[in-house]
Amino acid sequence: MLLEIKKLTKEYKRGASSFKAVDNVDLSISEDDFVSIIGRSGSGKSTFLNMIASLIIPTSGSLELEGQNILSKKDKVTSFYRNSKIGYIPQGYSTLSNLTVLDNVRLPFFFYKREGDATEKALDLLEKVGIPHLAQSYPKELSGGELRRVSIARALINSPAILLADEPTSDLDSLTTTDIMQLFEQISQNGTAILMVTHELDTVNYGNSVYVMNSGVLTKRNK
Amino acid sequence: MKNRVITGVLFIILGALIAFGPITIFPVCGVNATQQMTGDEMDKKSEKEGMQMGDDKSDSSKATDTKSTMDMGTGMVMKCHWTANVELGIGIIIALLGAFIIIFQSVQIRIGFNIAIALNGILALLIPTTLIGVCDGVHMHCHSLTQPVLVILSSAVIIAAVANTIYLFGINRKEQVKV
Amino acid sequence: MKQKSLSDRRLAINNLKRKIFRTTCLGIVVAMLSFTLFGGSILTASLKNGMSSMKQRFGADLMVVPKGYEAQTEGILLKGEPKYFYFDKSVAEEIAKVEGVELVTSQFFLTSLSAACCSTKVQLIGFNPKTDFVIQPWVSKTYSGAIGDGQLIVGSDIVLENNNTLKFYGQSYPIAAQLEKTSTGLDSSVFMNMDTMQKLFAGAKKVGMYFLDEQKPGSSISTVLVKIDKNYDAEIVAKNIRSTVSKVEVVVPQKMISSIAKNLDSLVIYIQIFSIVLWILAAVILGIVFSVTINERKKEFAVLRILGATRKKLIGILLTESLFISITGGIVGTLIASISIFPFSTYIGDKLQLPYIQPHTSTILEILVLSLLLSIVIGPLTSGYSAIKISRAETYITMREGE
Repeated sequence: MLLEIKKLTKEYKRGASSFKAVDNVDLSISEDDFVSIIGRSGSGKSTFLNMIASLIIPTSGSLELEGQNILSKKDKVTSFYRNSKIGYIPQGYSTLSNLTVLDNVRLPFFFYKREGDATEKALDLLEKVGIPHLAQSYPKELSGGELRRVSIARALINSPAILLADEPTSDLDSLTTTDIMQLFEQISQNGTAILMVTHELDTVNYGNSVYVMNSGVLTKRNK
Repeated sequence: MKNRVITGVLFIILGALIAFGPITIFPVCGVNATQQMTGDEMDKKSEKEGMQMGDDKSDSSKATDTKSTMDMGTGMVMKCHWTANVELGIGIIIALLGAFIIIFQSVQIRIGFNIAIALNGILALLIPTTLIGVCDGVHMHCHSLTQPVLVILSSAVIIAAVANTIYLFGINRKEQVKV
Repeated sequence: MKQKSLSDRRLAINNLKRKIFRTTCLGIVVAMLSFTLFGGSILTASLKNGMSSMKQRFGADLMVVPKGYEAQTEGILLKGEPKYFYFDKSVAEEIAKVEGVELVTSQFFLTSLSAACCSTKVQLIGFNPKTDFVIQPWVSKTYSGAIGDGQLIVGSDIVLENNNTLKFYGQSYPIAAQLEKTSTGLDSSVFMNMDTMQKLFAGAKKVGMYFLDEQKPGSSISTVLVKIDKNYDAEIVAKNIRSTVSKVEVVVPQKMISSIAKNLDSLVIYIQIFSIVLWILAAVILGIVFSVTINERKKEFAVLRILGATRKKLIGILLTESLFISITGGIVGTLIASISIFPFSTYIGDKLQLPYIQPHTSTILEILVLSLLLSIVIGPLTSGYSAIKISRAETYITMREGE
């Protein structure tokens, strides 16, 4: 198993009472999986994803990627994990306006010492996501769909084991949504595991398994 | 467009300062003078100026300097006067060349103007220092104020013109590659 | 197509370039600070230098001159205004007998003219090498030989003829030495022994200049310089002289200097207070601006954290940005201050009417390093708090806040 999650829980305190945003979730993902998690806003799906990305510290449970426990208190460890092992596509727009599209894609490569040619890799990825001609443009010149493609390319620059996407199509029109989902399918077919969180029912037609998150509880749905 | 306007305006300002500064805001000695005397008249005047015991007649050397461009002894106009005249001419030329830079779009023409400005700047630098110079007295206005200001202004002209020339050469090369 | 790697430095420069107006304004604040720090410090050091030089140069505790010539004496000492006055040389012997007087030496004043006979119009001072205790100790600092007959020693502001001589009253005299700047009137004076002074006096007579009436020059002097016994107070000895010797006035150089010193001290204090206030103001302005801009960029920092940047890296990028601003501003401000002060040293001294001597190069370099350091450190210091705060905030929360 690529990703092994056991009894993952996140509890928040609201005044005197507490509530569980994520309640004892178990999940296993292999290299060729393309998993979608659907649920309403506030169901805990984003919290769950962000715990896997080590952006939120779980209250309890275990998280193993490629056999290694990734729950750590050390910033250096979690940051490296986020940079190298996973490709995170945040919700909304997350490109840096001060950098060109090419530099945005290359950026994560330089956070740690690496071998290889970042530029060549980035251009290759921009080709794969269909926007090589926009390499020298700035984010403000791009459409919503194009910006999403940049985020996807950037998430792949360090050849991660798994791609985490937080509502990747929530602010896109239906045609662009189709394009993006087809891109995800291609990436999955190329051997990168994908875990996607969404509230759009149409998008769950892609991928090979669907889960439903409801008040922090995860249940599998038959496709 | 930005380069044209910014550098053009810069050279107009610097040129104007070089031209009119020595006769206005950082003047050479005797800018207000109108006297013209011969040498003999000078000597007689000095003798009469009280060589008796106890008379407080001698002026401070500084007071004399700012009252007249005339060297009281020799009857010649002081050097700083000629320096101011020449800088007036050079400064106006620099300002005009600066105006031409704004007008002409061609990169090569502007390179030419910048080279011309740089050369004029060198002249503006040499005039108050070696070619003509200013009065010798260190406390004289032309020496303590006018000369250093002209050196600074003309150096600024030279540096800006050379830098701009190099920059425009680069632009010119890029344009030629495109073609 | 080979592109540069995206180091922290490149990211910082990119960030600064995209917000060029804000970057420039912050740079100007730092430039103003470094201008004031460096410029103010150089001014202060030059004024203090000039003052200490003036205090050392006067040498004599008292100067006795003919009654009514006190003001002219100050003119000679402070501004180098050429003057002349005389009394009988027997006055020196009378003064030597007064209680509290340890040493006396006399000097003879003459002035030249701005005329064909003379190179330039200056104060001419003849002294007695045997009794002198004022000029020779000072001269020996730059010239070890004795002043021979016919030779001149000139102050720093005197301009020499091409062949290193000066012409007075039709006769050229070789220059033995030119002295260092003292920021007193003595910078525009010419010194010689009494024999040479006799020659000059004769030369003046030849061109029709009568400084004295029928009296022979040998029996007249212009001033008596007095060194008092260290157990006595200068004012008391001055009083004694006034009451013992008739038709004389006593100038106390230290009193003259102390009033100048007071003005100078006030100016120095103003400069120092202004510099401190400006540093604090600059720190406050930069602190506020950095805090606001860092808050604005919450989402940007959240994205960097999401992409795997450590907290240390985030702080590094922010500190690099602020360092760039303060280094650039610091250098520009210091450069402008240098251009505004060093070439205009003489002009500044003349305008302030205070003793002003630029310090040595080593002192200037020390001041330069200190000013630059104080200017450069202000950037990282003021952005540090905000940088650490933003790096500590939980990434997810920062991301949502930034939306």
